[in-house]
Amino acid sequence: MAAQRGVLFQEKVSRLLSKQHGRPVLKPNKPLVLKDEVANRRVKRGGASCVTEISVLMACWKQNSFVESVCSVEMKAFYSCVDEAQVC
Amino acid sequence: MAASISGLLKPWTPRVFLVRWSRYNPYYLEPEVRKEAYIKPEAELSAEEKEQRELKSIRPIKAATNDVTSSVFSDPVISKFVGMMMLDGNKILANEIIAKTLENIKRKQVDKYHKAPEGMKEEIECNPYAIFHQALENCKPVVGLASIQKGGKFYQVPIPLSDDRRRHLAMKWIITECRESKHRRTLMYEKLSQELLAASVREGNVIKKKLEMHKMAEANRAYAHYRWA
Repeated sequence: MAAQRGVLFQEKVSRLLSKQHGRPVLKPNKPLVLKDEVANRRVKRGGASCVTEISVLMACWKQNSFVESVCSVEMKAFYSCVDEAQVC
Repeated sequence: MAASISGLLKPWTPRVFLVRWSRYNPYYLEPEVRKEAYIKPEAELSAEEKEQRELKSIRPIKAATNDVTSSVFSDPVISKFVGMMMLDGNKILANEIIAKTLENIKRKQVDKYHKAPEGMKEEIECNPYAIFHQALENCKPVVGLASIQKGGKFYQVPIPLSDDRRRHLAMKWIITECRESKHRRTLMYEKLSQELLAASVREGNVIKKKLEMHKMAEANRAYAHYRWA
């Protein structure tokens, strides 16, 4: 079924290009062939990840006046979140 | 990206033979310099490592740069620090400065060790490389600030940083601090050894700079949602 549709489509394209049916509708300057890769799209801006982790870490910092040794648990959670976000 | 390209490319021999260029065909593999990787006998290798060895016997390998050595004294972190400290390509001078710095650190620590009472002797770290790594670890910031434009204004947004970026920032801060805020007559290695020893116990100007960065990030935490918004 897909093959039939392909054939019909090719016939339609050749009709649009030919000069026997009045003026040709399509006048392509490049051959009508699909490339085997997609063009570079603008990178979609992803959502802000790890925002909760950052806010938890900063709350810990605020409480303990930025002493790092106390907030090691939150820091580990933050780093693991960052690693996961990087991977995906 | 290199993996997908290397699937399509075949190994080509260029007309000009690549000796130490930095741009290689992605087909080329990185050289393995460490001795430990080659000492392991056949039986102890896992399946992946066996595959890796197979690959290395087939594919071409990039030429190793002059920096990497298989000696026990070469440290990639220290090499990176030397490269960052180098000015006008004078790597010999940068290497000498770092060597003098490490020697200076060792001297000070051994001095402290001999003067310390019996109970405190074990706590004093005499290995200058360990002190360097500890100081670097203590100077690395956890979050950084990025300037993001939203609605015509630029906001300083706190973002997580990659490991490389954190290490780069720590090294850059140490070097800038030692270059700028020292007495005219103090030599670089002296100032560096002072800063590294202070940083390894979380004191000194570099640690202050890191804390300022953290405080700025904390002050701007409301903008954290602006990341790529």
